[in-house]
Amino acid sequence: MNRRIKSTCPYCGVGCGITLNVDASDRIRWVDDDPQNLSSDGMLCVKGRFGTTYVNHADRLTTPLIRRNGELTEATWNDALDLIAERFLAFRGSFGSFASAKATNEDAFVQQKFVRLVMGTNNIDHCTRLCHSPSVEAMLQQFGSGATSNSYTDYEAASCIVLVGCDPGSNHPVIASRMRRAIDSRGTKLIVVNPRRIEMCDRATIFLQPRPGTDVGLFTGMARSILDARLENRAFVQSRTEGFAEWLAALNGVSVDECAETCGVAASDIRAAALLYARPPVLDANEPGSCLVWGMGVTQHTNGTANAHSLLNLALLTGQLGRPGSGVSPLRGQNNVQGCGDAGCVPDSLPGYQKYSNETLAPFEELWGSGLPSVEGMKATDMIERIALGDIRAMYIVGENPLLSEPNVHHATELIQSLDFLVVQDLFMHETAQLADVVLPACSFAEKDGTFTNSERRVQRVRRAIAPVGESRPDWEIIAELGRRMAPAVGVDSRQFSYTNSSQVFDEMATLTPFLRGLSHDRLDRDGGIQWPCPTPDHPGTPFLYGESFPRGLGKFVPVRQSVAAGELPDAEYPLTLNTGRVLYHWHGGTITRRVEGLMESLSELPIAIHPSDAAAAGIADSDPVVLFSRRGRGSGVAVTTDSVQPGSVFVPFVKLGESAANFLTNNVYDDVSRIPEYKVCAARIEKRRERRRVRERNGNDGDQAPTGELPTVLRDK
Amino acid sequence: MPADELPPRFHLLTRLHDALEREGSVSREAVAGVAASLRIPLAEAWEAATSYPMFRFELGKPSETRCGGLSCALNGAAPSRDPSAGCRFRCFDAPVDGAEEPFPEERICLAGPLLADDVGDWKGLVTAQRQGTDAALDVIEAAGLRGRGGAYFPVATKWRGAIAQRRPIALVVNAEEGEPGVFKDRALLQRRPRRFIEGLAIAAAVLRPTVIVVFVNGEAAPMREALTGALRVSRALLPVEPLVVSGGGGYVLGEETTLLNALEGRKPVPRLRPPFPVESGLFGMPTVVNNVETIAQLSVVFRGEAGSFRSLGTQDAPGTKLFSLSGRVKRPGLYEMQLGSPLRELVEHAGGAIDGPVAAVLAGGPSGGFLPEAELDRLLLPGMMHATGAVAGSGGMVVLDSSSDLHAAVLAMAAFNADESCGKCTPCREGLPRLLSALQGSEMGIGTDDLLEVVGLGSLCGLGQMAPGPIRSARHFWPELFA
Amino acid sequence: MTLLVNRTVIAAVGSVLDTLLAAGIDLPHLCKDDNLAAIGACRTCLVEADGRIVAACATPASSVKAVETETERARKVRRGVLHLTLSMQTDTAPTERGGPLAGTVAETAVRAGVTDTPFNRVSGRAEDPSNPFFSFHEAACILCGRCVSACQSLQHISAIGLAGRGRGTVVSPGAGDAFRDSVCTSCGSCVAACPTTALRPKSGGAA
Repeated sequence: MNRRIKSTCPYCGVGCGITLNVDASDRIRWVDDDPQNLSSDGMLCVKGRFGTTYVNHADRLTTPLIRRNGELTEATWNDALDLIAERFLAFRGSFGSFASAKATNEDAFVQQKFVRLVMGTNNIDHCTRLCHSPSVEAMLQQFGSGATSNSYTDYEAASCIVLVGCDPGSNHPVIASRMRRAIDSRGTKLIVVNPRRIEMCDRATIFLQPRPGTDVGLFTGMARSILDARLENRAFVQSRTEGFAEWLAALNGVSVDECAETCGVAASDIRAAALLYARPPVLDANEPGSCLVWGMGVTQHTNGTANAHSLLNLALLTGQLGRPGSGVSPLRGQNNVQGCGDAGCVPDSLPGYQKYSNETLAPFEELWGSGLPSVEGMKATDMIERIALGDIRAMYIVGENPLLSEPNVHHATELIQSLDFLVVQDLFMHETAQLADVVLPACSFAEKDGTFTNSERRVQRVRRAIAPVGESRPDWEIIAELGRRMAPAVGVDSRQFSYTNSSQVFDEMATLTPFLRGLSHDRLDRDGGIQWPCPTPDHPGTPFLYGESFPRGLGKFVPVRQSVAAGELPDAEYPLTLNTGRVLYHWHGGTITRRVEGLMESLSELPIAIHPSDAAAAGIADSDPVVLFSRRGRGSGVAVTTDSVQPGSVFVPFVKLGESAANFLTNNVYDDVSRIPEYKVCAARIEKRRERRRVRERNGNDGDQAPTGELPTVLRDK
Repeated sequence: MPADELPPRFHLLTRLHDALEREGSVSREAVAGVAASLRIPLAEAWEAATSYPMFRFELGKPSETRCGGLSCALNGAAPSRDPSAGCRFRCFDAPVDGAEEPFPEERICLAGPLLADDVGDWKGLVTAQRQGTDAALDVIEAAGLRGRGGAYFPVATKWRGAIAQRRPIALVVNAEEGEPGVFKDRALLQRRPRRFIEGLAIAAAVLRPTVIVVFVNGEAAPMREALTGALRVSRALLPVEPLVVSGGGGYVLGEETTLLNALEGRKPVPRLRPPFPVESGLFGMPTVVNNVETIAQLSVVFRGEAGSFRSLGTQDAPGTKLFSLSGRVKRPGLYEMQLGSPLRELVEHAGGAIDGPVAAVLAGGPSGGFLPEAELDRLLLPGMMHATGAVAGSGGMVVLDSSSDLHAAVLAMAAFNADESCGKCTPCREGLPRLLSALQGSEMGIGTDDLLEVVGLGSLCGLGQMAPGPIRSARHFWPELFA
Repeated sequence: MTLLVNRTVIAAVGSVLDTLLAAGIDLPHLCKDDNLAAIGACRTCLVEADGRIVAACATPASSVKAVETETERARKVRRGVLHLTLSMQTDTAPTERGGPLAGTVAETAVRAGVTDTPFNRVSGRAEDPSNPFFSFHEAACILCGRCVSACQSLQHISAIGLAGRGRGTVVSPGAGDAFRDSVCTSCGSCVAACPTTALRPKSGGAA
């Protein structure tokens, strides 16, 4: 008997509505789009439509595994959980946990509760550290909230869209469709800022290609241009912001020409983009506005937070937020990366981004009946690096594969191997799970109930469509079970983890999180997805933020200066700049998408994009097998010669295909504020594979080995 | 939007013509190049380009130049071997070989106020300008001017519809004239260009369009030349410089929404209405689409003494209309007649049939119907001249005499319509080829009359809705031919 | 606002077809997709409105006064059009594993009491298995245009178009290319929209 179950797509942060068509043997046969879903409007991309068959893949973990005599062997839930409970108790004080932005809000909420209440630490984080932590940090500082301010429909109401360091055609395809619709049917103007010529450039009015790592220079130049043309929004600056004078003072003496010099974009182009953004054209009856949209090209730099500040300053200067057709949008990479942060899986705040204070802690301690840690925990990247110092000795990693997602994977592997106790909970056996002491089989999105929160803050239902595969269980259920076992030993009432369904978990989260207070599973079932803030049950939700005020009161200008472009730049030995990112047909590290036949057929080898001139210089033709080297590692793939990358650059998606992945090469250096790794820039060298073998024959020197030297760090599956 | 703000895809047809000129046919690579340069998705450029018979994909240059039209066939032309050979629109010279040639003055056989003389001054324009938009619209309404492209829609009503939108207006002049047997717009633009220019300037003065486009039949080189020449000398009369776009063939382009799709670089198929072009036409602008003759008649309306336009024609359909008469008639050519004249009078002006009495007249071409001699007293008026199909339409009248093979003529019309179906809607696309087979004797499994009804009532646009006319009328009047 | 349908007053919403469906009146239709604007190409939903035969999907309910769905003329023309539609599908058309709507044409015909077509069946024979997720089979295609509309107007990808004209029209990726060589992103909206097995998933599928 076939069934149709409405749910939410498990891939990127767009959060498209899907209807799973399931057959009598619990296999997903077809995925329908959902024309009623307000976020996706009947659209889907290849991964949402055809990419969920991994759920039924034979590789699914179906029983708990315990390492015995060095081997991971099947175990009962009872044995596995008893073992974990006993060992975790021994590591209170040196424990860290990664939550999953792929799991539900309910999973995330129970996990952070477990970590805080039972393990007594705030060492909990998730992959936002590796994607938008600089955006969140900058937005929290300047606005007081770390979320996309607008709705997707604002891209269609805008007169101008600025895409900075993102490739929505590959990574947020349904948002790209909305933007194409706006451009084609309304004449919306598009500005693309990207070192790479992305697909959306076909429709761009202005395309700027700054040098990697020089965004601050570019956006400072744009700010200068706006001021020079007197196009700043004075009324907005006066009534809604603070810090303008200090910011302006920092800009003193900075000229557009100077900025042009820094970022390698012509001054005239900087001015044109600035004026278009500040004063977009009147297209129709809509009030003209501009949307600022960015991705990891802004954030994954050692100066990522500064980059984000320089963008947000532009929005404040022009008042391009807080009304329809405008806004600031960090495009979120994972289905629930917004929700995972909302639910409190971050080291510096409680659910709802409530910083630790007596007032914020009180309701939690009251409801949970116990004291909670009030010092900031470690960020994800720090947890990994501080394994070396003995600060972290045990980890509980849920739905993450740091050994594919951290920068400099060789380094990360060494560190994780040195943990005293590692528990991994996931759908598939992956690189990190292979090092675990206990592996727990988790349910996929299709086997559990809950909610995801998408990039436009819309909380949407996820519904159980099939029975759990094997003995797998929903994350929240596993963690609650663990909580019940461990609670008495730490003086916590085990009833704190006695949920019987995910709706109860949501209700508790809503009680403790002011901006979710008006939501419940029942309401979402009745009304469909709702955008937070939604403080009361009769509140309709919030399509755009900052209409009247900012959560921190006034918006704050933050002066920033262009720093060194990157931690490592090309030199004679490694003459190319390696840029990493994603591709349409795979999702992040590829643990899931490698288990979808059609996606593998679409892309089975690691594509290494190189400019034809560089390829010619290296004797490489299109489709040649090549090897890419950095000081930290190497990766094999297939050359794709294309002028979409600039001369001197190579682009590699961070999916692992074959045995190669970009993060064997990337550099484990971090942004000081957000601790995000610099995935976007490192130095590399390329060789044709066949020719290299000839070299080896001639020299008797095995060039296939990774260069020796210090083996540096680690995590990112977003 | 002004001409320089039109989206690049507006130039698709022009660029395809450039490629055709260079290479003799349009290749896949040419389309890909044009699509890339105009930022049109390849599949959209391809579906548009492959819809035009003129671009001759894979056919190469035309293998012969003989006309494939009905008037030429009636006058002894051998059937063309080139499947894409269409009418050369010199039906008055039938049988014709070779490309279009300038329209000869002597083929203006009967002139009324529209054709009598080309205008010397711009008196009509001055009057319209002096009156201003509202008063001028009242004049047009009082004159009772209806569109001369075949649908006879009241001009004032259409214009008021566009003005009511209170947005910048596009004025599109349809000079596609793709109906075999019709050459009136060609004649007007070549022989009385100033008449047209004055009408265009009046339309521009009243509508105040931000863009004016004249869409010209792609093969009508002499017409285009005459038009561009006239526009050059009259630039000062017009608020904006008209853009001249050549089509790529296709009878269905006479349908105004299809024409708009063609101008937008989209596949030339009819749009659904509503929205009507006056609400949302060229790139969403309120758009007035008028035929060349309609525009030229404005000159007559505004130059005449009050009521002089009305004094001709009928109460409901005042003024004169241009009729293109060809086939087996003694004096083929262009005749300006009062609307409401009997068809017989037109045929008599032309000296009657060549061989014996008139056997039949195809009134309205492929979208019209055949009338026997006994029905020639029917009046040339908007609407149906006979319920089985005959219409005054855009004024194409083909005479058959005793030497003519009527059955072959019916087949030719059926084949033409089947060929010209754009393919968008099922009844027309699927029904017309089957009607043709049925006429050729194939068993169909359904009555021909039933299928005629399905196509006529079920089709999306005028092409399919009117296509049954020639067959239905011939079956009605000459049942013995179809027994 | 109301509309007189078969001599009964009902609430008018959107098009005549929307109005009929909202009132629970079954009228066969093929090219109208819930997700897409009306196309008006298949002419399956013909009704008599104020004495004229019109396509219900393409006629705003507000533009007519009275609609009759079951006049002899409307039924006859509807049947004739369905006969023509069925005649486009030949015996090489795949019969199983279509997208979610693959059975629509057959079911629609049955509901309209049409079991076969009196016309010779004629179809193109183009097959395109090049996409990893779905294949194309011209022998089942009725040229309703839903796939193209989904690709061009919903997803704004424009990987496919309706190339050629008249009876030579064919769903075509790029410039007559294979799906694999076009800008197709495999979003599958064309497959989801197809009312036949012309575009069908390679595995799974709803039918």
